[in-house]
Amino acid sequence: MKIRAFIFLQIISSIIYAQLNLGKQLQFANELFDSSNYFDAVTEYKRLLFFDDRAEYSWEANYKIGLSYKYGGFYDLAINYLKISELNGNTSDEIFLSKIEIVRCNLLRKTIATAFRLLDEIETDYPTDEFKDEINYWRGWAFMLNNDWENAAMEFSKIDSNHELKTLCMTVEENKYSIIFAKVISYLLPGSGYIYSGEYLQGLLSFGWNLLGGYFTIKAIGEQRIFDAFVISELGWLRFYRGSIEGAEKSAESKNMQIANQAYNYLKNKYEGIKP
Amino acid sequence: MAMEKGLIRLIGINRILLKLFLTFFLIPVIFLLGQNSGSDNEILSPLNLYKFGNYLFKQGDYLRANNELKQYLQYENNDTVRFKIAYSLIEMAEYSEGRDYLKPLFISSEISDEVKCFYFKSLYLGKKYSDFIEQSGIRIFQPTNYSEDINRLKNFFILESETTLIDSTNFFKPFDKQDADSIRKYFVRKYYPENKSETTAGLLSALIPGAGKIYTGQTGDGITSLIFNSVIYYLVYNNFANKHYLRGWIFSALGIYFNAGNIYGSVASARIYNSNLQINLGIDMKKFVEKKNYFMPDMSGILK
Repeated sequence: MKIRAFIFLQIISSIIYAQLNLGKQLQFANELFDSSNYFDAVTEYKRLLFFDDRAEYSWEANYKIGLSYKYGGFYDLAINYLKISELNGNTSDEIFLSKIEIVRCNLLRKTIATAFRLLDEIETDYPTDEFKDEINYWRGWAFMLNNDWENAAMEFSKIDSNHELKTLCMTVEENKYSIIFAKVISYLLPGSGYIYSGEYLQGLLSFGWNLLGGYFTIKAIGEQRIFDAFVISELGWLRFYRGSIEGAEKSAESKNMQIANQAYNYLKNKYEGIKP
Repeated sequence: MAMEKGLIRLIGINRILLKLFLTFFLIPVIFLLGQNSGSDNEILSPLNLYKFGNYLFKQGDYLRANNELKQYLQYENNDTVRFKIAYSLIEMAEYSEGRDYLKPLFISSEISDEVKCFYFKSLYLGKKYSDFIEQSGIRIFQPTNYSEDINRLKNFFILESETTLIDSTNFFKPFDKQDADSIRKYFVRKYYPENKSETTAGLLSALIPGAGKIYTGQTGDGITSLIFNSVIYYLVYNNFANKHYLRGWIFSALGIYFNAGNIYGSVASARIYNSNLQINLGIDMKKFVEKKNYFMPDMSGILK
């Protein structure tokens, strides 16, 4: 009887220590991860997964592999492992963490539409207030990276009416030029769209070319040279007229891009909150 | 019970002593042994290094697989592992280092024939044309059972690399009929390409604006050029006819400018057409040899 008990204890001890062994492996992998040694961390997490027959560390190892790949800039691989971690999550919090990391990877690899879709799904799965702020926060980031500053400001204001990022988004939105307005005024007065977007010399030149084209066209019509008038207006005047409208649009877009880039630079270099 | 009695007799003490022995000595020792056997040494045992390395290899994580398999090699020399390391290195485009792992397996290895085939594949992938040709003629490099496979790859490599016309008498013999037909087509495309003459393209455009572009297959561009130049020439005629000499000369200059551009464009178009023929040939040949797995024999048994 005692021999049986002895053998039983031996089996139990080997199981306990096998798990301790995997625990040590996890600890080692975590140390590598914490010291930003992501390549080796991935190897050790993979080793842990390989020997973890009972899938006890499946969520954590896959989640950390996903994060390591994310920090290394391998977003597709990161998403693959984060999805596996999501499937192996033991608690709703773990699954939530995996899902949010997938959203963040999508923001980093600029697949914003997917990020929006995933955030909608998360919102449906986690309707409680506990998760709302984080969902809104990342939706705000998705809008910002989608160059939609107005909606981004709305999302951040749901978290806090004085949220730092809300203020930033409002500032960007206020500083942006209206592309439609630039085009409309260019239809009415060629070159004015350029001037509106701060390109004064371009605006004056465009206005001058249009004036000249119009003058030659009208002169040709006045002298009954209809074919000349057609050619001059089609090849000359209309080219500059259309050019002034398209140019105004491009100029306003370019200025808006500069304003957005300034905001992105701020987010990248100076913003101290959580980033994707 | 019999075992227990036997144990008591063996130790020569009574039950109480056995209990004490089990409680204070044997069980703690076993726990400690368990702890030792369950330490890092177990996960990093040579066998486990091999198993984990093989798992990474199958996953296609060649860099990490290599690290594990190289560590395993320090404990045990294994030809298959060495081959897998070489395979991983070649997959990672580290051809030279890969070949270094293959060379020791040329002699007295059960897989030496497959190794030699793979060696030549690495030379092909590494674009080592002269080494390939030279070494394929050396006996020690020749695989006994797969010499025909190497000949096929060799001929394909020659066709890809040689710029001068090659002797086609026995060139297609190593290939089966279907492959020979495909390679014959590549041969014709390489040495007898349907090039467009740059001079013809230029002359055609000089005579009829846009005709050179139509000749090189740029029909849309050609028709646009024809219409545009016709309008300009009409304006030249119309202005001179109506004694608007200044405008006539301005449109003439414009016409000459556009026509010169058109001639130059047609010549360039012919040049691009010809270089595209060679680029497309290269792409097609690459696809073909990839599809044929570089004429390699089946190595799935070794790569399990």
